[in-house]
Amino acid sequence: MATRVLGWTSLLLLAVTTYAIFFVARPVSGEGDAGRIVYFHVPISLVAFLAFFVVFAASIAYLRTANPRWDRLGRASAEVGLVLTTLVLITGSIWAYPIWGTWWSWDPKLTTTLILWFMYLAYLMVRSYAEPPRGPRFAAIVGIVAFFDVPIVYMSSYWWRTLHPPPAIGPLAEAQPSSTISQILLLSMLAFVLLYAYLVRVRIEIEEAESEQTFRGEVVGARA
Amino acid sequence: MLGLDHYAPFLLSAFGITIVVLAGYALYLWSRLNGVRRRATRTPSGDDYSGRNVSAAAPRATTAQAASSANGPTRP
Repeated sequence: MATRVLGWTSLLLLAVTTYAIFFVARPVSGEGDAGRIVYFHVPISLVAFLAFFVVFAASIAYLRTANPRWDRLGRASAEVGLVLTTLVLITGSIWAYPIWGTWWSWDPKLTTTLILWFMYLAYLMVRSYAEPPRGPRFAAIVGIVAFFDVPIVYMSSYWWRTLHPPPAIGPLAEAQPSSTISQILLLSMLAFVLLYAYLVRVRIEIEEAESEQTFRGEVVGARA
Repeated sequence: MLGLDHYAPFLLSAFGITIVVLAGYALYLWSRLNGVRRRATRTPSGDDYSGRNVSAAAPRATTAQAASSANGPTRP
């Protein structure tokens, strides 16, 4: 029930955000309508960071307690985070072409984001292919190590002044955006946070149902 | 209409890909969840398990002679 409410609320907020992006926001000066991509590119990247922080916290909790709940949360969050990071890379490239004249540049921000993507892909591969109890433990270690790339990604455009613009919102933003831009960014952020929470919940439900079935199968097999 | 400028194809393709990827992922999760739930309703639970539910073949009498025994191979 709570999962459904979460799903419908995120869908509603995404619809409102879409309306705001296309009908309320004004074209960004110098970027035209391509600048509107920022309204979903930036929130998706911040929600991906949130997802990876959850993986980091869940991995530490799993290594301390060995409770499979933390493992499930970490795996679900890593998968959703990877999907979001994929979107960050795609939408960023599409934004870059008209603005920079190239789809891809080995800019520190882009390169560290690509490394982040590969690290969480490695997390999911370790989690899928290594047998329990080793798999969850190894994946938790990867989940902790990989998170150290997140602050590097965020700070990269601040440390190395290259092509990618510095942070648009947050404490490191050089110029705070106008109230309309901030409101749309916050609305978009909220919509994607709720969508993230919904997808993680559904992913955890799948994991729980599957592990329950495996357990039942083992019980039946043992009795036979 | 929206009054978009010449950058509109980039905006619309980025937005379209975002929607398609997110909707596709959500659909994949739903179908997996439904599949797991369907299997769960079909599989007998551990509580109602009994030996009668096992569809294993009953042991059959065989005419084959054992190749060997604890006393060594049988001699004619």
